Amino acid sequence: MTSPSLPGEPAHLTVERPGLGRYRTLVTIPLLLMAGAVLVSLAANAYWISTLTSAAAIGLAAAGVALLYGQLGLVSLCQFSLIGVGGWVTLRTGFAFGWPFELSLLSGGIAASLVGVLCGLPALRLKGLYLALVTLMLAGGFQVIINAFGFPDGGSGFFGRADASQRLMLPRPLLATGNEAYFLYAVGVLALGLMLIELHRRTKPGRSWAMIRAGETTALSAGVNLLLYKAWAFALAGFLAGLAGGVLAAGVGQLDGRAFSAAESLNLFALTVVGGAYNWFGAVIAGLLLRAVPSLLTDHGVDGYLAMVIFGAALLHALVTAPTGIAGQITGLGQWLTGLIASESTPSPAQQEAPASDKLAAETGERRP
Amino acid sequence: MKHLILAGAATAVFALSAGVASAADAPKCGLANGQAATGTPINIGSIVSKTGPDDFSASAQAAKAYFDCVNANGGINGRPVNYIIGDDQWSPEIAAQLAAKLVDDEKVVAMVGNSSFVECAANANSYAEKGVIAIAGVGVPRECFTAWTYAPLNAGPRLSTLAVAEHINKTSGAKKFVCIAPNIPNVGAWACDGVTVWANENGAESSTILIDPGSSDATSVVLQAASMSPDAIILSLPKGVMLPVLVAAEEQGLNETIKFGSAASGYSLDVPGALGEAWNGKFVVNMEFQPLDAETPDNMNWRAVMDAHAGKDVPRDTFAQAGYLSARLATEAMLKLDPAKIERDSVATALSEVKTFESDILCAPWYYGAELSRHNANNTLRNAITDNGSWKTVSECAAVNDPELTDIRAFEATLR
Repeated sequence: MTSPSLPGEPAHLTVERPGLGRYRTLVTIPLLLMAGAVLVSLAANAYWISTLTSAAAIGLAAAGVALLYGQLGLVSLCQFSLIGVGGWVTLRTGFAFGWPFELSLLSGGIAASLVGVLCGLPALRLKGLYLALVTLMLAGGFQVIINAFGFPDGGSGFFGRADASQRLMLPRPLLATGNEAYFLYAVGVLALGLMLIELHRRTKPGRSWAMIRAGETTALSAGVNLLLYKAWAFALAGFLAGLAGGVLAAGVGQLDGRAFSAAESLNLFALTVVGGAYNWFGAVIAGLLLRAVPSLLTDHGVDGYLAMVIFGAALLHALVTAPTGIAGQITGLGQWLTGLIASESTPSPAQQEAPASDKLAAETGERRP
Repeated sequence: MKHLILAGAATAVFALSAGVASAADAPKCGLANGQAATGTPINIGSIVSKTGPDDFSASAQAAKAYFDCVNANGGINGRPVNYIIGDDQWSPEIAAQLAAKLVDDEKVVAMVGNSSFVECAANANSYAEKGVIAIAGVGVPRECFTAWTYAPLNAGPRLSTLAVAEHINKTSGAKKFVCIAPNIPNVGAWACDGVTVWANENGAESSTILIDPGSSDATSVVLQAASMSPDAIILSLPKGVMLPVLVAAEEQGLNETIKFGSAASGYSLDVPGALGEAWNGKFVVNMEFQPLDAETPDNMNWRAVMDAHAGKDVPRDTFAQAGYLSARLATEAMLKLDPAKIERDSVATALSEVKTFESDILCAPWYYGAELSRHNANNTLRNAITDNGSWKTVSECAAVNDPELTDIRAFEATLR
């Protein structure tokens, strides 16, 4: 799947300029997210705190989808199932060992990342529609398995099911037992996840992914290890989905198999595209779309399923007119405004043209190779 | 105890007949003074599973009809009830969000008329933490019957499933059972486990088949059950899943050789007609409440409230009976309070002190049982059999012999 090119997009790959400036996003992500989260936790009521906690978790998984699609051009339709895998392992290890939540969360992330690599194996040979179909079937397979075996709820045995006895709830992390605290915790995990991706994008893996997206033959001839970096991307995307599952599991204390249908993976992918797969905050927008929009509708007495219709229209809009998603449009708006201000303060067009295009290249070149 | 139950029921019938007999069609609720309540509203919440595999909202809609009737009849000593219903869409995540909205944001004084497959597990702890008592209409999974602040009006699938097995055992001497239930966490296995435990203690045996309600094939399910050569097959399935199983059984001629019974989920006025002649006198169901068409005073009042305050599209089913009862119970408990002091704490105390809530819709007076760590007050049930296109009640209220009820029975012994 290729996207139409943006006006002003450079035809060549820009070479990253050296210096610490390129790591600036690593500081802006946590600052912006945490500041926003603190403001929200002060202003929002319990319903919205709870909804936005889920949105933060889903945002993590969307960041993984965006990584695969935005960086490598791979369509993976089993990422919501990986949330389930992460949630399953978080619950199972949490009940089995009673250790701190962070360890359960980490094991959930690692397990989902391993499964993510397995899901990604076909990607070494398949691309585009075929990869999408294979991963969608894997998601269908997960739906059948999770409906048959369910999520662990404090029982014994491998599956940990407490079918005819008292079900247990997974306790929240000691740091954050209250609703507001847990919301901040979830946003904190989201920020860490997004920073992890940014770090990858600005170092060797990011450059290798950019080469692979530009063309596998080119990448191969440039000495990029295709197998390693594709598997790495799937592992990272799986890891983030796994963390999302863990955060969701501890939010309520349990998970329900019915919430992990293959259709959810489709929704997640569609809304990641709508949110924007090329900017870090696209994933945040995708999380909000998937969780906050249905809640907003339900809160106003409108059937939550109407959200599906809205999502469909949004996806159509994104594919036709805004391939970089809402996040891309916001960035574009920001650049237009900066350009406007710059042109007003420096009236000579010849003087400002060079730095503006240079800036654009630095902004978009690496994100949309 | 049976005498006491009958005495209780008789008193209830007598007490209500005085008021209802004179005006059979006009619903009677709350203060029944015909004046609209205008005071500060009292927020009461409810969470139901509406959007999803099945619609369980009838419970809350019936409760809403009753509260509307109360608001038109003097309210709670002048204060109207603002009844807020949330749809959890069968998702624990959404159920928890709704609980946060109702309990923390809307500051409801109690939850009334809940009916959900997922809500009990997700919210029981937070209700207990916030001191909110939930008088549910219909509880389905085990968690609805094991929480300290959650008390449903119905008996639950476990008791209902066991009651019909006991009845078939008593009337036909069946010893070998197969129980078929959905594989929903803490619903199916828990319900069938009751039959197994009871069978083991009573010289019978029972096997369980758990099926995925969304994707199971009715014929193969029935053949799998029949291959165990049982005397009786007990279904603990949602109605929409149960009917195809019965049709498949008829195609295999199994209705002639094996007894069939169902938990209360199979009790609906349209089922005997839908099954047809072949099942006449061959299908027993359990009923958690009075037969829907019974002409007893409170059951008639329920229908009158529904006719006056609920649309024609709201089903008049057992869920609605349960919702009506929970709303009536909460109203009567709150009417005893000083209207200026109706707050979460006072309402929780008033609800937890309910010792004898009487209605002819129930077999025995309902109690909350504040001393108990869990609640299952509705545990004496009736059964009915298909009879020429309708249901015929075949057993009077009988106590269910579930060993899991030991704590409940011990508590009831102290009450009487």
